[in-house]
Amino acid sequence: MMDSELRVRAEPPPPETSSTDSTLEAAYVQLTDMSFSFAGSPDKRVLSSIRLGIDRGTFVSFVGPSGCGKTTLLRLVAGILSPTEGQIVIDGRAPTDPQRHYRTGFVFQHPVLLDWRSARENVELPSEILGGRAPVVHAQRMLDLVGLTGYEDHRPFELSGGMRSRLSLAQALGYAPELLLLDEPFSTLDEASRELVCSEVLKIFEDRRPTVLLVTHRVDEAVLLSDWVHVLTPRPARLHRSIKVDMPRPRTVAAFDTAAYADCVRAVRIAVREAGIEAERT
Amino acid sequence: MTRAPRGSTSPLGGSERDAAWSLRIREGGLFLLGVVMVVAGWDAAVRVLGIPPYLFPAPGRILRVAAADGSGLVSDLAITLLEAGLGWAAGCVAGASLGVVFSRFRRVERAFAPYFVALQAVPIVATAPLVIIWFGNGILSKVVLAAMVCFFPMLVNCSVGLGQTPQEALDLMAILGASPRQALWKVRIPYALPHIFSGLRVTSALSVVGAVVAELAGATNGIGFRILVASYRTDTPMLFAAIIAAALGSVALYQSVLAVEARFLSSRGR
Repeated sequence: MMDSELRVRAEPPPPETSSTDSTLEAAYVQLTDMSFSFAGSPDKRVLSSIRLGIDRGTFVSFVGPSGCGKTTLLRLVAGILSPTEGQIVIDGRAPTDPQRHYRTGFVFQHPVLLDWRSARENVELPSEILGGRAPVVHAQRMLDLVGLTGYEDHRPFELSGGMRSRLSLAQALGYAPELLLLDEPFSTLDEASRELVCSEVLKIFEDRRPTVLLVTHRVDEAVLLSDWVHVLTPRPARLHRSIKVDMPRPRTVAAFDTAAYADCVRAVRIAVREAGIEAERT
Repeated sequence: MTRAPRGSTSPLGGSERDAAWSLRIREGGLFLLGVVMVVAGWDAAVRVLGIPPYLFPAPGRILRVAAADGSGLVSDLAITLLEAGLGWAAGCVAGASLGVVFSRFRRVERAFAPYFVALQAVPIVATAPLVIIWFGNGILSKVVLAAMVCFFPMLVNCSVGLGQTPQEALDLMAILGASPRQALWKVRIPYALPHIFSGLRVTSALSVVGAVVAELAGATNGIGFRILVASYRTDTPMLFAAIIAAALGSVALYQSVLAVEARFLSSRGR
């Protein structure tokens, strides 16, 4: 036991740990020295000078301790909040630009599923609001995609936690957003459903290649799904380190058993620990 | 795990329905038994203690007096329920509308809510004579007073209910660029429905109080008028009959709102 641990530690340094900063101008999502604090407590920063570019069609995760401001980061990218300093540009536009309304999908930690609507009607909700502005939703295809065939007429409260998560995913994917924001969508699930929903997300990503921002405190799922894992410090969240996940795509949950996966997980774990120590020092 | 699909006929379906019915019959039976026991006890107490009818009449006497002027009693109750119903509808529409405005513009709420709280603090009995002077002796003054009683509880329930929408649902509306009207109809009102219905229920009983109070202050018919006349004549049995009629009317209104509510909210599985 001791022996193998030593051997692992002795291996060459973790994969790549550079930042994506150099490509900021060309990036699809550009976070330029972005800071955020809530109105009323301007001296308490939630996010501090985040500078990051995210390329189109990549899957990136933000890993950090609970309450560090990960969700706030997603809400900023979604245009629900506005940065206090710096700016966010997505595909050349501000997040609040009306053109972005049908290009961003958000999967919430607690799914927004309306109990008075059937599963199908919940998937159709966004297109009812977007009207003619978004592509036509094929609710049935979305439900098939997330494995809810046969449950179209069930109400959300009749579904299990895992099914609710997948339904919420279908709701966000329905209008084919280019940018998908996932706010700990698996956090309320048990281990088995988590793996199932994870592999569902993986399949959909490999298939349609949207740009995905995932927020999580779980290193394992971040590494499995992502091209880049960005490690955040405790509040105020700063970008501590960006780690490239060098694993071939298409991936499946079988990747859990590979050496590359184990290396990446270790690198991210170390970075998370460092981030915590550094935050204590300052 | 998933629950059985809605409307599926399980092999137990028939006996389950039978069980539900037998439960209902048993509950109904218990209710009737309670009524019989109360009435019998009342009757016995009046007889044994020798209480004079002008103080506390026996149930049989009340029934006889009520039956003797049955059509009059029924038409008075109908008038009162009409006034109450119209006032209830008007008060609820007005209260709910202002609730929508308040929930959307919290600054307006902060500026004007104190006036409504102050008005609510004035006893309705004290304002009744004024309402009669302004709106006359007819049906209109009763409708106005019933509406006044219903207005505030409905306003509060609606405003609170519309504030209950989960933040995530509002976020989703923002991301999709929903208009305030879309957000209101697609998520905010549906999420507020349980509160709105509880407002409708409470006010349905209150509206009868409002109508009767207005009738007591000045009317030519209705249950309140009947109560006034009976009290002048010390016709205690008729007084009882009128009070019981008003109570039954209130219960009927309340139960009908409850039935509509059950229908509306049953599809949510709660």
